Amino acid sequence: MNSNVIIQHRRRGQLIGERELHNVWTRNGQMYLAQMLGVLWIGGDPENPLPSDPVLTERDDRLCYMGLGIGGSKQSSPLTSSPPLSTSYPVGLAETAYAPDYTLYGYSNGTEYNTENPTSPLIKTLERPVRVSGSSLPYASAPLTDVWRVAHPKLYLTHRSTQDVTVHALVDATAGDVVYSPFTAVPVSEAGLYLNTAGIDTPYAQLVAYVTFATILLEATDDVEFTWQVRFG
Amino acid sequence: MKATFRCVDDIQVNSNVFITARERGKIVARREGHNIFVDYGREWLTKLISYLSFSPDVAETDARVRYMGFGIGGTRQIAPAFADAAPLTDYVPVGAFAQTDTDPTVSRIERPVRVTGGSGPPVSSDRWMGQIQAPVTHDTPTSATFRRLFVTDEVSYGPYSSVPLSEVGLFVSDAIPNFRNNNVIAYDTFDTLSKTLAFELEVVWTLRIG
Repeated sequence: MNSNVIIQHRRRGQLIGERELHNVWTRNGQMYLAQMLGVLWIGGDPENPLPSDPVLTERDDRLCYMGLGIGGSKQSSPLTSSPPLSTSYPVGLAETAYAPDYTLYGYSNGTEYNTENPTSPLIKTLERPVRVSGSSLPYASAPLTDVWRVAHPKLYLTHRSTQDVTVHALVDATAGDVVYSPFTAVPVSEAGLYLNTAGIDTPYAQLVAYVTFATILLEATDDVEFTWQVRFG
Repeated sequence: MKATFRCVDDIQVNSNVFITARERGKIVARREGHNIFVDYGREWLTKLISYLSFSPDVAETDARVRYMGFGIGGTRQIAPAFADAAPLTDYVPVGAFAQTDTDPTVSRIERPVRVTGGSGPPVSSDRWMGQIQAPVTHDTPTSATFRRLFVTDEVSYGPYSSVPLSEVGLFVSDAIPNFRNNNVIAYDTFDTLSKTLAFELEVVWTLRIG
C-alpha cells in the first residue's frame, strides 16, 4: 500500500532527507468521525423535510493543526535526554493506556508510542510534544501564549483525489519554528493531526492521526514539509 | 473493550443495515446485510472533515446523514415481472436489475420509489426519501446508527398496494427529498420484501469507523 505521509527535510533549501510513512488514524479519530456523521436534532416537519430546516449537529470541528514531538518508538537521539530538551520537554506526562480495557496504566518513558501496534499503548496525544514558538518552560508550567501546533498559513488542505484530504504543513526553522533559543537542534520523531477544538496553546491535546519516524535533526537552517493524506478506503 | 485497530492508511467505513417488517407489532420478515459505503460517501467524508479556507474557518460541507429511500431495482430483486408491471411502471421505468451492493461506484438507487405522493409521472410534491430519527445513536463509540420507521401508508399507498422493495439507500442532508435521483452515500440490495398497507418497515442502519 502506498504511504500516506511524506516528510521532506531541507537544509538551506536543499533536500537532504525524505521519509515515506504510514500513519495511524487513532481511536479518538474514529470517535470523531462517528460523531460527525449525524445530527442531534432536526427542526421543521419530519413528514415534509426541507433542506432549509434547522439542524443541531453533534460536533462541528475539522482538521486544522499539526503538532511535532520528540517521542515515539523511532526516536534515537541522545539529545532528548539532555538539557534543554530533557527539562523543557520532560518524559512522563503522556498516558500509557493498554488493551484490553485501556484503564490508565501510567505514563510513558518517552519512546513507547508506535504505529505498528497503536493500541499498546493506546495513542491519544503526542508522546513528547515540542513547541512551534514561545517559551522553554516545562510542560506543566508552560504559559498559554506558547504555540504547540502548526496552523494556517503554514498549514492548508487540498484534495488529491475525490477520496482523500491532504494536509500540507511547513515547519520552518529558518523562521524560528521549533528551533529557537535555547533549542539549537531539535530531533523530531513524531507528528500528529488535530482538530480546531484542540487549539494551539496546550501541549497535550487529543489528536486524530499519528505518525512516528526515524529522527530528523532539525537545525536553524532547516525546514520540514509534511504532505499528509487522510484517505477513505 | 476490544482492540479494534488495524494499521492501515485508509480509514474504513463499514455499513450494516437491518430491515424489519412488522404487522400490528409482530415481526413478519427481516432482512439484514453488510452493504457498501460508496465512492460518493467517501467523497462527502473528505469534505466533511475539511475546511475550504481558514481565518475565518469555512467548512467545505456541513451536510450530515438525514434520509433513507427505497427502490425496486438491484440484483436481488426476485420478482422482476412484478416490478416491471403496472402500476409501478407508471412512474418507474422498466429496470435492468443490474446494480449490486458490492460496487463502490454505485451512485443512486436504481429504481427509486416514492415514500408519499401521487401516482403516475413524478411531480414536485412527491417525496422520495424519509427523514431519519434524531438524535443519531452510538451503539459503540466508533459507530453511528440511523433509524427510520416507514409506516403502513408510506411507500405502499393509493394504486401501489404492494411494492416489491429490493434496494435501500442512505442520503445526506444536501439531497432533495422531492427529487427522484439523489446520490447515495451507502447502498444495499436485499431479497424482495413486498411492502403493503398491512405492515410497517423499520430500517436500522449502522456505519462503523475502522
